Amino acid sequence: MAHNNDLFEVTFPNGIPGFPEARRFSLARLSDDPANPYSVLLSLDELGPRMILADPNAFFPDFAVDIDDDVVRLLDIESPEEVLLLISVRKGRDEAGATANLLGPFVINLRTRIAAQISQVGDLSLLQVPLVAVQAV
Amino acid sequence: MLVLTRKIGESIRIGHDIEVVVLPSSGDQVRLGISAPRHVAIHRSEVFERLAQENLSSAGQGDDIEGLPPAPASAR
Repeated sequence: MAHNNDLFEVTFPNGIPGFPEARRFSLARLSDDPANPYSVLLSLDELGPRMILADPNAFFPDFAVDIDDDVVRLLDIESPEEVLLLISVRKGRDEAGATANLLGPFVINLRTRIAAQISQVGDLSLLQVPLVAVQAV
Repeated sequence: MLVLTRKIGESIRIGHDIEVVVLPSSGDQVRLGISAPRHVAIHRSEVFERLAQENLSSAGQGDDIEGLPPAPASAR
């Protein structure tokens, strides 16, 4: 499901690793351009993080996640259409150095506005996958 | 650190509502079954720690897309 909303509030009931106290965030797309894959996740709590997230389909069309039943219940997911999947990205020294975290994707229920960062089973190298290397042909 | 000895099928309880069961295991791999309330996030430690590190590193960047590649045209 695409999120067309300019900005909305999401709650992470479990916080996110590294920022256990951060619960409330705003999520907004970084550009009005429909092709823009980037959003910013901004903590509404003091000293919380600000992260850049991206639509995985734009870079990793084959990327799929396993969402545990616990997460389905936590987010109150009733159908896959409610789910927005995003990955965090990190800038490198230059554009070619940018990486994406495919081991800890963000799952957001657009209906309930409840979200979680979930850990996937896989190699730790999935934490920093080059954003450019896996372009679709 | 508290150390307990448990047999396969036995469990421990942490607080009122977290239960960890030792499941049949083989070799040097131990399988654990965990029942916990949904507000308790469960991660493998090494993944949790690296995720936290990666999040901390990712959290300090500016909120602009300068330095990030555009989406490949074929994915649009």
